[in-house]
Amino acid sequence: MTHSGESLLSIVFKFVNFTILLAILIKFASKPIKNYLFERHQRIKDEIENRKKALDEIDSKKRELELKLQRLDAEVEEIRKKVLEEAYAEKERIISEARTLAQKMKDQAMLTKEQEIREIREMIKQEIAKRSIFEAERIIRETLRKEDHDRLVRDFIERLRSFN
Amino acid sequence: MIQRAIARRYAQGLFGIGIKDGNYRVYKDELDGFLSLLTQNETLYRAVTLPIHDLNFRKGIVSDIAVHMRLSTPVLNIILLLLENNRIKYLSSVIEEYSKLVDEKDNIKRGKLYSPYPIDPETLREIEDVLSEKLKKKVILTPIEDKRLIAGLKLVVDGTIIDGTIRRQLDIIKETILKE
Repeated sequence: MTHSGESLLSIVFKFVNFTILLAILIKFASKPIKNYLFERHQRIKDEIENRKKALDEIDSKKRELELKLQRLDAEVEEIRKKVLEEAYAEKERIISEARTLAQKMKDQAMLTKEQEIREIREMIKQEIAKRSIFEAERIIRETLRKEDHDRLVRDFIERLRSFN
Repeated sequence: MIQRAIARRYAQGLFGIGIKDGNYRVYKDELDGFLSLLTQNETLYRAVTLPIHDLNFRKGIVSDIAVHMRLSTPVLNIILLLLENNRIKYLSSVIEEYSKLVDEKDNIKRGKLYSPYPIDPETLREIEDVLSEKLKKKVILTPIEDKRLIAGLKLVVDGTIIDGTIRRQLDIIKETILKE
């Protein structure tokens, strides 16, 4: 008898029962449990492997992106330089074109000015010639006598005689 | 140009007859007289030249004039031929061409003498004689008065101009001023 009133035989019996149950369980359930545990172990292992791979990939991507970022800075700098160069060239071209245009306009203005001066000179000459001839004719008509005409007629006849 | 060529053919036809019968100068005078009559009388000119009138009516008028002016048959025929062919307006060109043929035959060269004053016949004759001697042809000049010339003479013969006028001198001075 034990202090709780349960007999030793009962305890042994329970122990034997338990052992038998355990043996049965080991006999029939150990393999599935083992399989289950192995699979679970394998799954966890795979999961860990996968996570590790993913982490490696992320690291690789990160390094790649860092490299890209470094290159991007260089590219940005290069683009900035190129844009500046192009802007400078464009500025030079615009200035050059503006200078050419200004020179053309200046030349054209000079030509126009010269043309106008020529035209004015021509007009003045025409006016001088017209007035001079008008005045000369007036004086000649006032002072000319019939004898002068007769003298010119004689000269004319002499000129005709001298022709060969 | 075509009118001139056609007129020359009519003139040559009449001139051929004139050479044969020796009356080419008479024909010229008759043509000049007929044209002068037409141009002095506009009604008559229109009656003869306008195709709106009947041809026989116009031919009748010309025949009456011919009788009145005692035109020779070849001259009358050439005028009637011009009428029939509706070329009576070419008459003045025919006369010009005929005059050229007569002048050529008679070795005559015609020209114009411009003067601001009337030219006395003696001076005109003297100039004609000088030119006749130089050109080896009889030169006949038509005097034309032109006050713009101021003084001196201008002669135009056969496309040649000899200008001895004060106007020409003034023109030369003007050209010189403009050239400077």
